[in-house]
Amino acid sequence: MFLEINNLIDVKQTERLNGWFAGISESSVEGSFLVHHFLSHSLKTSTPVCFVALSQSFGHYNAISQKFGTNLTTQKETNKLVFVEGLKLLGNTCCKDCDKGDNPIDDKSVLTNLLQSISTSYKELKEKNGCSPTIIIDNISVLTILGFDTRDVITFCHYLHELIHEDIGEKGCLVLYASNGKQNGDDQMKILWNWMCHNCTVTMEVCGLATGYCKDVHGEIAVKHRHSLTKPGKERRMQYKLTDKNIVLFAAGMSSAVL
Amino acid sequence: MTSTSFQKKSKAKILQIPGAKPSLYNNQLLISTGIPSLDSIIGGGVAVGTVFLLEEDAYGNYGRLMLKYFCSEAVMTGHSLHLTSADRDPQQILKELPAPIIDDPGPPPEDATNQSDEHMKIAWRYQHLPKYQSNPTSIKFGHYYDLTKTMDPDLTNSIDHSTISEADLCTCFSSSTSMNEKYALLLEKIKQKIDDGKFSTTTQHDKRNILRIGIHSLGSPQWGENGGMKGENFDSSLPRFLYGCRALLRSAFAVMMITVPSHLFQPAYVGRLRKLCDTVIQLESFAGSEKILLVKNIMVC
Amino acid sequence: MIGDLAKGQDKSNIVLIEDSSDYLGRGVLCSFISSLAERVDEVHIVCYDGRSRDIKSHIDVSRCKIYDGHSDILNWNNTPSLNATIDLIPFLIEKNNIHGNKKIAVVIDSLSQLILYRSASYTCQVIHKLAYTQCLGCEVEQVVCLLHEDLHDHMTSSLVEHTASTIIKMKKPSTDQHTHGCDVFHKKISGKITQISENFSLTDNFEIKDVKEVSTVISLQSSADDSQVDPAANLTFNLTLTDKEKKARSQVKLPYTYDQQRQEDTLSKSVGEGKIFYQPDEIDDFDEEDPDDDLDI
Repeated sequence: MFLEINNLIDVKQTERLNGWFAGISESSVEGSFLVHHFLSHSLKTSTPVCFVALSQSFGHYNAISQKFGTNLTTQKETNKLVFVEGLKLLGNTCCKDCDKGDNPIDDKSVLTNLLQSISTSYKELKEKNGCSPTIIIDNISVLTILGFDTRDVITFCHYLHELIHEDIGEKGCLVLYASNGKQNGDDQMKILWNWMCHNCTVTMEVCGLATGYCKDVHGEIAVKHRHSLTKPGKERRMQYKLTDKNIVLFAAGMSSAVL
Repeated sequence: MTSTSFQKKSKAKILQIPGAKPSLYNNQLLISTGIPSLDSIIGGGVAVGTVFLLEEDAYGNYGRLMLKYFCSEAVMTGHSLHLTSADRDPQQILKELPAPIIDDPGPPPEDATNQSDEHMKIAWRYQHLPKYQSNPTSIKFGHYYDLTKTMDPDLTNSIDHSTISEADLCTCFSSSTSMNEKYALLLEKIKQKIDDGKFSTTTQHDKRNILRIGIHSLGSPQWGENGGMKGENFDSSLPRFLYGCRALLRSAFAVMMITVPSHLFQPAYVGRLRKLCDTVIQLESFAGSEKILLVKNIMVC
Repeated sequence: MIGDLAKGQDKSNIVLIEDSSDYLGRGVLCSFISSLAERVDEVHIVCYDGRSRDIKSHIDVSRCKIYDGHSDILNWNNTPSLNATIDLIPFLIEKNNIHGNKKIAVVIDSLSQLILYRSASYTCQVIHKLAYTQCLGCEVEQVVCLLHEDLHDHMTSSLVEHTASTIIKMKKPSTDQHTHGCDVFHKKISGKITQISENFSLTDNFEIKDVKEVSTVISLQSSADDSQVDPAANLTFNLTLTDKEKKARSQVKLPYTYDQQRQEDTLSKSVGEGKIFYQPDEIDDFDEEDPDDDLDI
């Protein structure tokens, strides 16, 4: 996990994120490092994780997690992690689609089945570990790109949100990674992101610099906490640079290359 | 010398496949695009198991040319090649590949007969080895090509290559209702090729090789594509095709290079296609010079 | 105006709070709920949004009846609770046994979910029926709804706005002293329409305070600043004067100005007859001769 990210979102190293609904968005640059952060943080605080990978394969996440000192294969074996290979699942459905005409991929049943399997894994993890798990999805916008109706994708997210609040006791945590559609004017992605902003307790928007690519400043993160009903959330904006195993955050214009 | 119990922490065993080298930044296996300077821009080469998207210039000339370099490189490295095009005859494209520039080994030495008489006093262990490197075009990474000459057809035919033309795509009667039929058929054929040629990572194979899949002008009207639109909404056939390819390639020793006439699509649609590919390059040509806009998205590993 | 609306001093049958992801309106909704709880017999809160569970944890809902419509919004889990697929009004009638003497209020959080799963016209018909017919068996004092305008297109929002009698659109406050800002469109029963822009703050008890109308008068300060600008500055040629030059300028005698000496000369010569008093300047070439003398006539 990145210590500096935890500082940015006001989280202690050992703090569990119960009741959190975190929304991460990307536009002109990728923000997937935040996904790895939450995965690593959850596993390090002994929170079981149900990880739904729609964007990359298991090998990809495992290779990066090892840089943080976490072996995902071991976590799977010790029932701390359930890894849903969404890319394989949905990708195979795309391929199977050619053979038969039935069960086209944009059928709602694909989403309900996926939801059912996540729900089952969540409950199993909770029982085996005695604490509420974290659900992480990378990247929910893939569903929109593959042609699922925005309404169905919103319903999917809604039910996931309800899942972590199901129990009266300890709440779970939900982390969704999406594209906000701002760079290309993608309306469907914008609506999904707006829905997330209305429902998330914290949002993190990652975007590139308006001036283009820079070697020393890779982009900006804007964090907004949204749990207060009386006071609008204050936005914290920081620029960042990614190195091989770490991230450096600084205020705009304060990059070490500039000073 | 005392032996120690220290064991070097070894990474996953790096496979030795001709024409492929490990990346300097991570332990991905890379292959060359056929243009060494392009390889250096994209981090050394194209990673095996990924999709390389090339957004064509307005008339498609440079896109097709870069695809030809990709194919020529397959010939030079002995990789398998699978080429598809709905706009041109892929067999014709294979006849127009640029020829490689072979290092001239130079004139043979005049006193070749004296070679065997020379005794090595200290390095006598190497006496029996030949004096010159016998193979002038030893397989290496990234070759240079001469556009004024076409590749010798015998050389092209020396590798395992296959093509799919528009005629092959028309004979389909796939009952797929939700994906464009031609994409569906192509995806099926790619899956078949990976299975038949034992390129999948799950199958055991003694002599591993790389499958290079080249698709020319995917998404052009010849594919039945209506500018990415289905009525008022985006047609999700092409994104689904790319996603299916990604799923297939992640567990295969294969690389896919696709050229797409992205100027025919809306920006939001192009954005979606880019998200489903691993390396994206956009070409913009004007008045004879070529300007390449690099649109990142390389798989971070 | 918004404070009055929340307290019920301005009567409005259907209040629509429109918010966006940057300027949330659930706080204002809670303000209305708190106030209604004191004025009517029962407040029925219909929750379709996942975040509407925050209402329970933030305000006193002992005098309210809350319907959980979000836990199983499309009935995928087959739970018996409210969901978007069930018609709301028959559901409310079934769950309640309300007689004619009571006064109730209905709060819906949020309409966006209903529009997403049913349609805009269905939603508009529901809130219209709730507010104006006595479908629940008694008088409905007010229907307050929350709508997330950035989840719908413009046409959908305007359909709902058309049905409401008051629209409160949340926006950025124009000053730093306030936490919220809004545009209020209020259609009075008489037919008069009031449009007003306001800034306000919400207390922790969801009371609306410090309501200040946003003034639209352009400040006059800028014109005062203009007169300070020196026109002789920023020129490529020099129009300024040194002090010595200014002094010399002030000493130049201008023609026709009041001059003591000139006046005395003039007045001393006149004796009641019209005479022309000619006083030549230095540069005038004054010649006593008659210029007609050299005419040979």
